[in-house]
Amino acid sequence: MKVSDYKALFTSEAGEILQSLESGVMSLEIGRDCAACVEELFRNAHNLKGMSGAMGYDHVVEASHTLENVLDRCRKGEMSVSRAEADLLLRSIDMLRELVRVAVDEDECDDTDLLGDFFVLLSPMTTRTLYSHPAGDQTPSPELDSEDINTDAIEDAYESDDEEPKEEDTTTAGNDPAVTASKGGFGERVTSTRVDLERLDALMDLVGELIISRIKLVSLAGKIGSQSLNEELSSSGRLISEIQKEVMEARLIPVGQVFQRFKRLVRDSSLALEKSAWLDIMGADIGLDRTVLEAMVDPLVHLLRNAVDHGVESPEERIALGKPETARIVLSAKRDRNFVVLQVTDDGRGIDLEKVLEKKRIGTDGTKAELMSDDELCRVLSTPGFSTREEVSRFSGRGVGMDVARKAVDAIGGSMKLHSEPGIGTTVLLQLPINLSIIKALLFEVGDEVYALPAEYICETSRLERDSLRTVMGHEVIQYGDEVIPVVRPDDLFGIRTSADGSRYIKLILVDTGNGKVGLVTKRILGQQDIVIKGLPSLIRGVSGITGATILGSGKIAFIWDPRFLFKGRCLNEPH
Amino acid sequence: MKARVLVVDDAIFMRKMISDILEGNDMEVVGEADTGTLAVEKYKELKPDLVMMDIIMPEMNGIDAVRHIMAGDSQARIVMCSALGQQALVQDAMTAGAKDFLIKPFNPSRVIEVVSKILNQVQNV
Repeated sequence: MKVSDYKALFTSEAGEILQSLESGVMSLEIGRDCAACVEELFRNAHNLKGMSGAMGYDHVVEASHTLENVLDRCRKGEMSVSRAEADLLLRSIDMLRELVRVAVDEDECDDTDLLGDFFVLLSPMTTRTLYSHPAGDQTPSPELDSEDINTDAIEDAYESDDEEPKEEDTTTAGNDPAVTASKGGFGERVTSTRVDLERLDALMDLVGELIISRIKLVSLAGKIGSQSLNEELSSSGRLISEIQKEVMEARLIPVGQVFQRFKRLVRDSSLALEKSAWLDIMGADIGLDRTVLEAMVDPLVHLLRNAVDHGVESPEERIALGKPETARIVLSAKRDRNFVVLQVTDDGRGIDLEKVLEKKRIGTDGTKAELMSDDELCRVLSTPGFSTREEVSRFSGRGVGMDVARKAVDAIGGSMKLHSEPGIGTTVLLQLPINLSIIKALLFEVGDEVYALPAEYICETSRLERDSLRTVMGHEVIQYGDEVIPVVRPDDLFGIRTSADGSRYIKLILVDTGNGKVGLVTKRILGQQDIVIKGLPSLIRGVSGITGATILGSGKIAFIWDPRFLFKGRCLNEPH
Repeated sequence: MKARVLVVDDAIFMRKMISDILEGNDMEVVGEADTGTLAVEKYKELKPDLVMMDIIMPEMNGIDAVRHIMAGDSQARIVMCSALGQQALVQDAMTAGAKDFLIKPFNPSRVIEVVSKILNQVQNV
């Protein structure tokens, strides 16, 4: 096995080490678990050095050796880490990450300067033990008698400087380097394995095909009407759902993998604003679909920046208020049935409702700030372009961030909530679907075609007398409990021709768009079912209101409607 | 019969690399450990012919692990795997009972040479 075969494993473990170094330095900076933290930092730098040596990445070896020396000094209590030292260390870790990247990518660029910069950067913290060029080989200890410890031999071995060619001829057998489970065929010891994400995606696609194929079988079986066939199909249905569940779980990525890097963001942006804030991450092990997790990176960056920028007070202000000087921002994840709830909480000043109202010019009609619900506040804040720094200082920008977050959350079918208490802090809550590939949907007919709506948007379906429709300002509405709900007809939306039937009844799907309810008139409601979302071909990908398609048991295609678009501008939901 | 080896290192990468070298040379890696504590446990459980032991590890370092293993089995055969700059630690480990040492990055032929030497000594006994 050649050294290059270990590259994937190296990259993944080096990435974890760098991440851990970064978050360790930040913990050290605020004085958390000092001794244990320094030990771990040292070990990480040490391991990176060892691994890079094995890969022949000399620059990474030299840099991580220097870092290891610095951390060793911390370990021995010769040096402490406050903000200035943490800054240097974090910047050095950034450089180290770049050195790793250059080495791994076999980038043509010369990183000698970068290595030089690295040394210069850490020079205030290093002792004079510069790393001698790594010996390519540990020269054999001259016949070391194992019973009689020969310290000279040890010294000799270490001091040797032989330039024997390195490991290229590693003649070893071995399995796929991606498989990192313990070796040796001891079943009980194999606790985890790394699987390429593409492979999991392919597996998910196959499960999707399997579900579609089963739906077709069910519809064929319906025609045959055989009892034993139906029983067999229902047992295969259970098995398929089990497989689906397992594959879906396997695709989930622990949120911590992405969240750890936000610690640095919070630290750096609070320093830039001359504030002090610390990010705590909770529920790092909670799994979330890769697509969902990736889609949440941007919104979370905005929400965290907002928290630092607009929530967290200056250290002086905090001390005056009797709060700890360092603000605590918590990014947490927890599982709630088929959702993952992400929450960003700060212990800052909260949102100034009076100012929000002032800006929104709602106050003029006498609305009191305290009467504004969290939902309304959230909606106001996430109105595109609601606020900018120039116009309003204290909470400005929150709107911009909220707008971005709102859009991203909406796009994947999640929801966003906000709660703010003056002087106590602000919490933004994102409820996200765990996966995006298979959803429960309500199937219905309009004209001669079948369409689908994601089930989580459906409040109920009903059959109403045609007479119960009213018209308000030229719009059809129905009375639903205490609410007056607008009614939409697909004819208006997509120009789908619906033949007028003379029936006394209309079939209505009551949809909660997140911005208010609407009733959708359909020809026939077919029922709820798991559907596999298929991406749209490029020709129709841009069509507003259609988020995807699915293949029905009949082999026909059903478009999946985006409830939010369908009812755009049709909701009587403007705050009054 | 293949020699049975326990590989101890807190870096997955290193465990993989050394396991590959050993298995490519007709040895069997019967277990792995990423802390000194786990190494001691696994030694008791697996009774391997040989242990490849890293030094810097969480929970319990490699030297203390050597002491614990030797206390339970004075015939244990342990080879230290160290990095440059750890002379003093290697000396401690040898005093504690380790039979030999290797310096990272590993040179496969050197690994096999040292390991074979230790295993042969055993057979001769």
